[in-house]
Amino acid sequence: MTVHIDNMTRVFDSPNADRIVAVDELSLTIEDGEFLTLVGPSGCGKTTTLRCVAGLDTPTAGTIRVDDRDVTELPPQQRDVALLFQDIALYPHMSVRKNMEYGLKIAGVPEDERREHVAEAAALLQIGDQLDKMPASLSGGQQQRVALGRSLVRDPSVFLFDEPMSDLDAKLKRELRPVVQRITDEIGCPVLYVTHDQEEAMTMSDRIAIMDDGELQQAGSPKEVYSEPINDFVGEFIGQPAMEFFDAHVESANGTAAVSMGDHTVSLPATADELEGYVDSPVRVGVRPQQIGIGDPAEGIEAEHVLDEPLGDETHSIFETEFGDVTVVTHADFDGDGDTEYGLVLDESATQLFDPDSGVRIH
Amino acid sequence: MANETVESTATTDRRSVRGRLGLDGEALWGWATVAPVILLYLFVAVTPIAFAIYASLFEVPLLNPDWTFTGLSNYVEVLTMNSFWSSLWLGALFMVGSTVVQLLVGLWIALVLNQLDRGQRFLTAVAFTAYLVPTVIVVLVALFMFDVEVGVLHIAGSTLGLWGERTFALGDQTWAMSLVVLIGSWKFSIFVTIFTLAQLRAIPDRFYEAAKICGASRWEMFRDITLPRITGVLLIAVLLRAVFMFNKFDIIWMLTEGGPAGATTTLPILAYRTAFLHNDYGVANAMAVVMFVFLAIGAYCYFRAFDPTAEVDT
Repeated sequence: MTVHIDNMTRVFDSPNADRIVAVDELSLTIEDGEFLTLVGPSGCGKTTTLRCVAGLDTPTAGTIRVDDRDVTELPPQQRDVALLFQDIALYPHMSVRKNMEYGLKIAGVPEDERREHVAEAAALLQIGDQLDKMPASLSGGQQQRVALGRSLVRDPSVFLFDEPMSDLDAKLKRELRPVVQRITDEIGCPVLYVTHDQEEAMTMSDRIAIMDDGELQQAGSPKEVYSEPINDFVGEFIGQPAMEFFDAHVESANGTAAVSMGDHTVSLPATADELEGYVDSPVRVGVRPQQIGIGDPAEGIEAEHVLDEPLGDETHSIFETEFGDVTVVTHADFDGDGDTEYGLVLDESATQLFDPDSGVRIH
Repeated sequence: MANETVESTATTDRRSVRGRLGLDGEALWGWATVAPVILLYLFVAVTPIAFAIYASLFEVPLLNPDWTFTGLSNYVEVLTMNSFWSSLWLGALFMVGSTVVQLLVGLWIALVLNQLDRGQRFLTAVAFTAYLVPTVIVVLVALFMFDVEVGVLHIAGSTLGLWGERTFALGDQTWAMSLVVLIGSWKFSIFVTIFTLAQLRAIPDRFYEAAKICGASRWEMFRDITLPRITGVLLIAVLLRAVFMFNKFDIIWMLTEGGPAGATTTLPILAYRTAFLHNDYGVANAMAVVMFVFLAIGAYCYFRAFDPTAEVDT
């Protein structure tokens, strides 16, 4: 199965405000067996997209096809999709077993066969001993496993996830991530996974699609969107801690480009061709906090230390500069001192340049 | 630290005073809070019931202050009375018929109101006014609508051939009971709606969305999600409606006075007739006590069979 989303638009009419364009001409293809994550800040249209694919919402324009079958107008009952909700949505009046076999029961599968499927799924999810309990007596993580099981037993042709881990704590998320990956691998159908958590997107996906304000920004493998973001939004959204940006000015470009950032100038390996039209113009310099070093004030951007967030293996240090607060990933032993003057040294080979108006990456 | 010591000695002192009563400060407050309710309950409920049981043991001519103790003979009279058993049967018919109609209509209205996207609040308020219309008004309007000369329902019925052109439907043996049930249900169905609607609104949309994804049809969603989620309140509503209708007096009396030829004489009507028309207050009280016992047994069996309280918690 392959899911094709073509030029899909979803507009909401609201009575007391202007029309809200939740999704704006989105085109995406999810290949068979591909794990595609739709990621973006809240309100970017990712959940609306997923609901349209599920059939719980209908696009205003555009089409959704599964293989060659146009499903745009079909109700969810006829789409053979599985959907895992953020708030889990287990039926509180049914036991875990009844919850898990519900889809099969609706499909008219005989009881002994249902039991077999449920037992299989429960073993895979390690909830075999919970089957006769009521959902309310399970922990959040176990409940989400049951919900996963409910989707899994039906052997769907498309698997959808709507921020299924947002309500779980960090440790449970890490436990559940490999479970989700194993199960989706096993089913081998196209997977559309919606989240606002870039870490989830990076760790689980074959491909990530980043959305902002209803529009698709970029779709690519995790490495691709991390190292070659198409614009400053993607650069900032993907990666932890977020990419730091500095307003700068391109002084000259011939072999290396001299870029001034306040009083400080860096020279980047870029040819005049690459920076055509930007010489003698403003740009934004983007650097990941991992690529910023600490030195003397004379060597880099003058900075004053604000605080350290030690993580054990590394430290996130926050400095105040003329460009605002800047986060730098420092050595685990780094211990900042408010009275010392520091200079932030950018790794020149790792810096990226963005158009200050459109945000598009130019180098 | 110092404070604690002082307080603990104070408590010990007070204990020595109240200790014999087994009361500490908290228990005393507890009793003081509960006492008014207990007194009120004694005064409003227990005393009249006790009085009725007491009076049922006497022969009490209504206008004569002299009561003659007759032991259980009133009960013997009640239980051997043909009209008692026929009234019990009619009362049960009225109770079951009314409860079933009210349950179905009330639930239906609730489901429809819950489906509305617009005007839900307004229409809910409109539907609820039926419950606020005084019974007298309901009866007057009903009598007018069944009037042989101008009544719209009379004409509709006689046109359909249900009853003759000159037949007063409420005075007709075959129709009286069903019509009393329907007229009562017009007013009281909304009681079930009030109960169910709040519970229906509390069912998250997610449950239905999850069911749709599983492929469930409308009927399957109703059967597997809606119904189980409202069973608890429905059981309570049915119990309350059944008890209320078994004891219903006003609407039946005003519509038919128990007629025609006793076709709508339920137990409350019979008890009233016995007390105030046959002047036999003692027997009427015995009848009321028997009704009370029957209802208590019925309610006990109902709770044993369904346990509505447990359902509401989930």
